[in-house]
Amino acid sequence: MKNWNSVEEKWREQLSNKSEDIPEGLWSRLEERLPERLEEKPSRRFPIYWAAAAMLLLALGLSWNWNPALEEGAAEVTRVIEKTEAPVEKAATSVSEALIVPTKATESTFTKARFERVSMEESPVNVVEESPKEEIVATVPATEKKDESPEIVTVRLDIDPIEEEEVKPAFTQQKRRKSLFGKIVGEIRQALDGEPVNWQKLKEGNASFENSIHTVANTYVKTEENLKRTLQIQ
Amino acid sequence: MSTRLPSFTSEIELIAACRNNNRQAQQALFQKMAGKMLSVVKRYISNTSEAEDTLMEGFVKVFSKLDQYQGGGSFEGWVRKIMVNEALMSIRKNKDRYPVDIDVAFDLAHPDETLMQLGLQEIEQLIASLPTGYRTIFNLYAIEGYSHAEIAQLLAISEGTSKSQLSRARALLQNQLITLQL
Repeated sequence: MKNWNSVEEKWREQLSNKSEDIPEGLWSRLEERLPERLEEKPSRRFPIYWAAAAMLLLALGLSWNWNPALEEGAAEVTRVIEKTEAPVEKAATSVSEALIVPTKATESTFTKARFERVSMEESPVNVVEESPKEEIVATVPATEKKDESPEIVTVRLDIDPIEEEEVKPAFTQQKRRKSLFGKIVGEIRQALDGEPVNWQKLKEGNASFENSIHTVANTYVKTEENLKRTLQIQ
Repeated sequence: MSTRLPSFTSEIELIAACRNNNRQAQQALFQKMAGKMLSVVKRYISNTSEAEDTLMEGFVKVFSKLDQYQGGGSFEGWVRKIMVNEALMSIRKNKDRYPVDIDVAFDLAHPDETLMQLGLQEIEQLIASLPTGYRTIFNLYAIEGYSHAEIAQLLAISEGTSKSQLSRARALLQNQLITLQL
């Protein structure tokens, strides 16, 4: 006696290979549907909301960094650093060359030149003669000061190295950009509304910002003087 | 259909070309499978034009979802599943109800011997004579090989309903055998 499962299995086998005749024009009808359907499918690789988010972030980033006054200050600091560091190295090298070259021709680095002591007796050097009034300010380590004798020429370069602390105020200002930017935006809005704007108030509210500008300016002047002096030595 | 199409050496190559929206490859795939798939769809939808429409909808889906075919199982099986789903959707759209209560007083344990002797056309005729609901469940279980759990999920019915509908479909088939004098 057969059961239903065997009947169904037989039917399944028979039906699985069954194929109908496809009427003419069925593909053409399908082809008509295909383009519009397949064109609908491709989704945006970069969805619109992601693009909007990216634009917003970009705008925020730009507005966050944009502050002409601070940029000016920062640029000035950079300029000072550039101006100081390069010539100092150069000047130091040239001084050491003038005094030490024959003995230490190959070692004319900035660090060594700073603390080198040159004995006039030991080296047949053509020392550049300086006028008696012209004073070469020196920064020699304290331990070496006691060995000073008439025969020894000590070269001191009083070049204030740019310490990180001096640049720091500008950095701290950067942190305050947000609030400052908010204030500026507020003032602009006020101006757009037709209300009088007190720009001086902005400056007053940021005393440290003003101080940092002065610090930068002072550093610049100080460094410039030092550079001039160094060049005179040359 | 008489257009000479470029031959694709393997099924993988043909599928890859279809994925790239190569129209000739799509036509080749259609020609290769449409006959079989129309037969599948017709088992669920007896109306010819409706079955052809469902077939086309199914192929549109096949071409648009080709990226989802991972190549794990048989491609024909994957296409067949899409066609079955499309047929079920079409039935649902036309508001045909699946289960219909009919009192059948046949002993279902032992089917008539004649059922084993039937030819392909007779089997199709017999299945087509079933009401839509019974036919759907019988096709899914007996011909496509779905389990009752899968049928229940597909048709949003309980497993028990699927089982009872299948036994009633079987009984009705036996009954139809006499009615149709096969």
